[in-house]
Amino acid sequence: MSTAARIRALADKQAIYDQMCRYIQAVDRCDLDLLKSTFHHDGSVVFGIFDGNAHDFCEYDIPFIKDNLVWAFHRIANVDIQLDGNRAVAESYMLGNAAAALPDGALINCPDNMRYRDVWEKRDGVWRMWKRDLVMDWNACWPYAGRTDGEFAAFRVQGTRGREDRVYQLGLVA
Amino acid sequence: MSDVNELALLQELEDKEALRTLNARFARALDRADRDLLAGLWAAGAQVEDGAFAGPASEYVAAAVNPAGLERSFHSISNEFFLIEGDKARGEVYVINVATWNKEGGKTDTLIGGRYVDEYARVEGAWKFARRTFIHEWNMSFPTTAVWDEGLFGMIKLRGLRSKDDPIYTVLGER
Repeated sequence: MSTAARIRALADKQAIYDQMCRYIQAVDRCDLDLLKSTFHHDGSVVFGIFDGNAHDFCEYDIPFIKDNLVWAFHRIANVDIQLDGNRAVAESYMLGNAAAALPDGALINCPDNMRYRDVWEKRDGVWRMWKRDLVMDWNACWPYAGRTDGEFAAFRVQGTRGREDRVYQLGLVA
Repeated sequence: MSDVNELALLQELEDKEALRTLNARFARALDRADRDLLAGLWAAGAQVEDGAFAGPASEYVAAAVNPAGLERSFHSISNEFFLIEGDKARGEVYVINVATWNKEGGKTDTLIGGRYVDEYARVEGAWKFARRTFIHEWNMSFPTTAVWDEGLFGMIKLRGLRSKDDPIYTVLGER
């Protein structure tokens, strides 16, 4: 491969990784427009909670998250991207943590370890997902161990799902 | 695609790699209580919001490098997302800080999940923090149950320390 082609391959992988981060930003901030922007309009997903067109999934997923999770926080790791021209297949590990409310109002912590199985396509110079499937590997239901007293009461900035979150103020998300 | 300047792509890749390294060094500075390392990560006039602290980076360094009662910490970062604009950049970085505290006669483990939202500046060729804000998302507290001296864990002799005696400094050539 030429030096230019090697640089372009690295830049393609970086662009896909950036979009993987965008996907998590969208889910954690419940940002529907941002979530849609990570998928091609004709993309599809197999998530169990929803299987079908990717943009229909986005419309379903954001209210689903708001209805079922008090908060959610997703970390990605172990990213393997295999490029093939303007298409790529990828696996990434996801380590999630979330809080859910039981019918009596009590909170539980639900950490989960899952993998995303993706097909990416570059169209008009932009990488977006053509397929994303969710594979579950582990989960747990723990008693809620969060605190709001003491030093935790002193935290100046709390993450939110709305546009008042600092990522919007700083223009990291449009 | 043919008109894309590969040098510009390479520059952006190098910038993002440098920002990842800057973030790793911030974590090391806090976890190793390395005041000199922490002090060197900031652009002139940098401002910080972290926990109860808000103010200039110079004051943050003194406050953050050795909090009262902290026995150990482990700042694990991920989801590093950066937008580069010449000699300035913005970014978001996910973090979970796993820490052990020794306060009021008992030990407690805390996990704090959150995000750093940052502004960066390139100063004489090196990327620095110009503004860093920690956004708290969630926390957990548990009684400490760590095993250090018995069984499998007891066999692992290299131990993280909050000083230049930590094993990393031997390979970094600082000891």
